[in-house]
Amino acid sequence: MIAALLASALLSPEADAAERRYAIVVGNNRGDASEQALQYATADASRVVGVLQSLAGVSPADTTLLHNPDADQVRETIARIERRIGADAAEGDQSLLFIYYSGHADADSLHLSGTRLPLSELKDAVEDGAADARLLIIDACRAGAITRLKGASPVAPFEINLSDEATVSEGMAIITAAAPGEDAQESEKLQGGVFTHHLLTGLQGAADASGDHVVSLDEAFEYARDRTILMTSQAPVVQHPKYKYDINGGGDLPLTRLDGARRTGQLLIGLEGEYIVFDAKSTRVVAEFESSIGGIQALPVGRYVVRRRTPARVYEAEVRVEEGQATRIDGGLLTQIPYGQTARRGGASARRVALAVTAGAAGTGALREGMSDSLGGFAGLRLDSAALTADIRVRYTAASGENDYLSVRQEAYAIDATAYRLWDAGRFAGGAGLRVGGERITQAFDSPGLAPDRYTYALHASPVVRGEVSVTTRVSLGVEGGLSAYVLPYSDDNPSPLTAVPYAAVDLSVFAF
Amino acid sequence: MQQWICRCLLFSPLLACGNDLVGADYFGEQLYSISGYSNQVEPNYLADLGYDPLQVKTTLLWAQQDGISLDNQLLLDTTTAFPGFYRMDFYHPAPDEAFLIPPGGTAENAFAYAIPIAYHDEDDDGLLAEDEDILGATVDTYLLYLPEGYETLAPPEGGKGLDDSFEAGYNAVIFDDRPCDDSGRPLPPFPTDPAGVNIVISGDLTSVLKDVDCRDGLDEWSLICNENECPETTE
Repeated sequence: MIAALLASALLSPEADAAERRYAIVVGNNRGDASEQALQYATADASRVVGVLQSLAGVSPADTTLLHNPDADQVRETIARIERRIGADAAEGDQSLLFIYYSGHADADSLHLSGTRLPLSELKDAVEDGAADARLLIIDACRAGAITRLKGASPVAPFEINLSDEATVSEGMAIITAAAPGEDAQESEKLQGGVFTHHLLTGLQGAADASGDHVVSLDEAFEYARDRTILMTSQAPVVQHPKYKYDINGGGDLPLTRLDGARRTGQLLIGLEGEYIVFDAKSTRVVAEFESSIGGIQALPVGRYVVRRRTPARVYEAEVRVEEGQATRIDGGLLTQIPYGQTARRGGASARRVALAVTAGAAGTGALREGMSDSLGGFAGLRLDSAALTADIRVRYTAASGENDYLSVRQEAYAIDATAYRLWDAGRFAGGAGLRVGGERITQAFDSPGLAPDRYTYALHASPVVRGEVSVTTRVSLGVEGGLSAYVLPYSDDNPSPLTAVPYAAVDLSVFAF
Repeated sequence: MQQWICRCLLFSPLLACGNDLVGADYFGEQLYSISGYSNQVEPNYLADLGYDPLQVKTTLLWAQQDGISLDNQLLLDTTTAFPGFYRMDFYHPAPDEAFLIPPGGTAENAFAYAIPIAYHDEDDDGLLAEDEDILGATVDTYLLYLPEGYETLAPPEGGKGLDDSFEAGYNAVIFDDRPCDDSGRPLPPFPTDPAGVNIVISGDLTSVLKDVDCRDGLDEWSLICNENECPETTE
């Protein structure tokens, strides 16, 4: 009944304005003194406020955002809002209260800037509240397996028992980002809590499985849960969000409405694939979804980079979402990312590696005084992946020298193996790595005297700095350089086995796939 | 060979193996070397003749069919002091132009010989020029180059050979008397002989540059004399 009423209120803007939604949103990066500060708890809280105000019918006047509060501030806020809800109830109005918390916690309490708020106290306060529906969402993190520990002390993890046997009071729903004993996680890539990120993405439309442009409590939770498990399945500890409610009408409680939301627009996609939407300015991941959901129904106005993945290719487009308008991503808007970048960017559904044939010209400094620089060419294979780019090359170079008695021609046949890391910036990429190799160097002399051919088997290693530009999706042009350290046979004339010479090369890589 | 094999076994595969690479300061394997002391018979001998001792240099002159050649001189360190030690290192065989075939001989008898000399290097280029004076030479030692060894140096019919045997390549030949006798024998390689191959500036060049055609001048000079052409010693 309550859910139905609230749904009615949410779905009918022209309905009685006395039906209100309140939100207390707490983000706390600072836990106990012994705990490592979190990076994204306050940012998560701010994003939650943005979605609640734009899509969930919570007015700014009914929203309380607390950044890094202590326990007393939270208590006072809850009490203050409860008084307002009580006043609404006295007038017969329906109400819904969101309480969201992101920060440190343990089995007994939330850690709030050096103070503690017992979970039992929080739960009692919510259960005893006057709102007809009360939704408590806790993304409380003790440790982050993807990035870092969110709480350094070895305490029992945050835990609210939401097992099948557990019950919640009538009109109340509790969502936790992780199951008991698990650690909720923050992600550098998402620049936020994993669960909160997916919850917000779902609330903005990605979770609208029914296609009715309303995201219900069930839809939001299921979407966030599935993607949180999927994403953290790559981490050492899988995070399983939990959900328990006792609300009439079940999980149909509508949380966000996607039609007519203020300061939002639609981002619609028409091609199959996996999509990631980045904020163009901050590069923060705003949403991840598959083409089956059709897009994001309510994306805040702004500029975004949309990346589409297929098993073999990656495409990108930069778009601007305008208020109340639909931005459609189609083939004409998307530009294919070069094969090498596709592999380097990684991704579950993308091709893991890109193989290229590479060839070019190379030169090294003179290994012995009076000899010319060695110049020549090479050919080889190159493999790009998310972790590393590696290549193996066969190289030939030649040098010469002469004096009054003879002339010498020096030739080298080398095998080089290089591993380096490239970072992409548009069509350009740059990086550094290490090259090792071995070569056979011969010296042949033109002399009327006695000057037998000489040969050497040498090892070399070189730090390599590389830059490249993607000419097409399949072809990249690169330039690299370094300082090669050679281990050469020594003699009285050359007493050190080590010789360092500069190294440079230009190359063309043609990706086969 | 054994040395670098040991290196390979010791350090391979961590270090390199094979021959040491050489640079432009490599002239090839040294074939021969002579050295000695260049001096004057009296302390002021050159000064009294109007020569500057600081301009005295050493070089090597190859004999050619038509006389002393200024070609293919051995360029030495021109900063060598005088009086002082000199050293000549040979990385090439004798130049083709220097090979001589004795009268009545064949190509198999070809040989080349040269003599270290001291000269007044007026232009300071380290090479003897036509207008520069030869001041002295080795007294009794010549440099002999044999392509195939002594056995192929058969004296021409009626001529005189050398009594001793010689290896192929460079040989320093010392004579008891003068070039045109048969007392030539190999000089032990320097520095076995501590005396070296000395150059003495004495003014008596005819004692070392033998006029073999019995006429005036020193245009023709030879280690192997043809008795018919040079029947008797002429001073």
